[in-house]
Amino acid sequence: MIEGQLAIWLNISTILVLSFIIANFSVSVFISILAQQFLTIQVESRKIILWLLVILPWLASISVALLFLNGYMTSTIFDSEAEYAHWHHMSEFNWLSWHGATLMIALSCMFYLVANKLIKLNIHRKKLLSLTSLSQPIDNNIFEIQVSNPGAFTAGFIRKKCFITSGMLKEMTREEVNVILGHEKAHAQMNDPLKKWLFSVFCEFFIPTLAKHLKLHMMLAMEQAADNAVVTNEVPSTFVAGTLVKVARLNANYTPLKENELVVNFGADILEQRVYFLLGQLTLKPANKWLTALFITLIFIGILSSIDGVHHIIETVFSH
Amino acid sequence: MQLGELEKMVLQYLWQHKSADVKEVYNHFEKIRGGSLNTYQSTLDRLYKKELLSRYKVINAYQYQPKIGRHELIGQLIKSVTNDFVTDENSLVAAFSSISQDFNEEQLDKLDALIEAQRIKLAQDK
Repeated sequence: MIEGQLAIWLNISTILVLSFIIANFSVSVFISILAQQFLTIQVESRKIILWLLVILPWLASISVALLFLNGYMTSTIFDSEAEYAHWHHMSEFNWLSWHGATLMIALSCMFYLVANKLIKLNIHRKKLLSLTSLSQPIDNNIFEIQVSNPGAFTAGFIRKKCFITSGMLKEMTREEVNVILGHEKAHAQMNDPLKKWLFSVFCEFFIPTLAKHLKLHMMLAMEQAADNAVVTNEVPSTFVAGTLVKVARLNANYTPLKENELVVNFGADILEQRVYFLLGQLTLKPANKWLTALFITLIFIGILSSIDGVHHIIETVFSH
Repeated sequence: MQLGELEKMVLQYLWQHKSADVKEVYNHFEKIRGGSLNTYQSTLDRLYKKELLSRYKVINAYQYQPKIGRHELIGQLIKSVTNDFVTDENSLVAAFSSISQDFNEEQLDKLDALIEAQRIKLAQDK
């Protein structure tokens, strides 16, 4: 049994874990119900909403844990069990209790997820260095990869590099290549590789199906923003959309179509969304600030009101 | 795994000649860029340690061969670097064509027709 200051911090950490689970569940329900509605929101607002959704469980759980800590230090919410939110035996902590087990499982999961991400990041860094070594620089931070398959992409966190294959350069006109490179440069300027990775780290804490949906929405928003960055007076949106379809056609020739219906539909939806967006056929609205603020408040109140109940439900089965 | 200039040149040579020992490599490059036999021996060793070359002993010298072809290596690296963000969260790239592979001709024709219609409409508006 641990007592005193350390026990308080460990109990606060357990509160943080429980709050995170409740917030994550609430946000997941919200996403499951309203995911399709995200497509009607303007690109920049959509990006903010998506970031907010993946960060919200962290923000809400940290806020609740701090509120509990402050409450304990100032003895306002622990005076009576009848208070709105309270926690028993705040200054005692036993590793062989559900509090201890919850904390250990959470720490193990967190360690596994973060370590896994960092290992993959390191592998990616090494492969990217190799690919850069075998590519031909054609402009400032633009490299040509000598393979016949058409493709173009941007990678790198600090030194962002744009790659284009010789197959792509061969098949496309100079104007189309400018559109593709402009699109890639826009990704580099907006730090999309780093943002994509960070977003995927936060998504790791959601169930895989939901994480996939969130990443898909973020990918679409990033692609639409990069497509939009290329459109100028000289380069009309119809030309950018045409280039996009031409590249899709080339890729279809090189890559066998996947049979997974879900994947095909997602792909179709995204390309269509990008083309419709460029052609101005989507009516996109800004996010409603009041509704967003109400949602955040509801999540926060939801955690505060349910953490005590969750605590009691768990203790009908396990000892603390 | 980063490749130095000389490593890339030696690898390129072995991709063209399939197999060579250090003396053959040295004889080829000595005329072009100089350097000692030891320089080329250590370059071949480094490429072997990076698992890009395989080697076997013939009498007293190692015969080096590329373990993987140029296009195969680049293809593997591209695939690894650009794994799709949605199907593989390891992906750290933003790609122009990342989401356009799962399409059929009919869908693409439909989109082309839509773009053409928009083009005509914009031209008429002017």
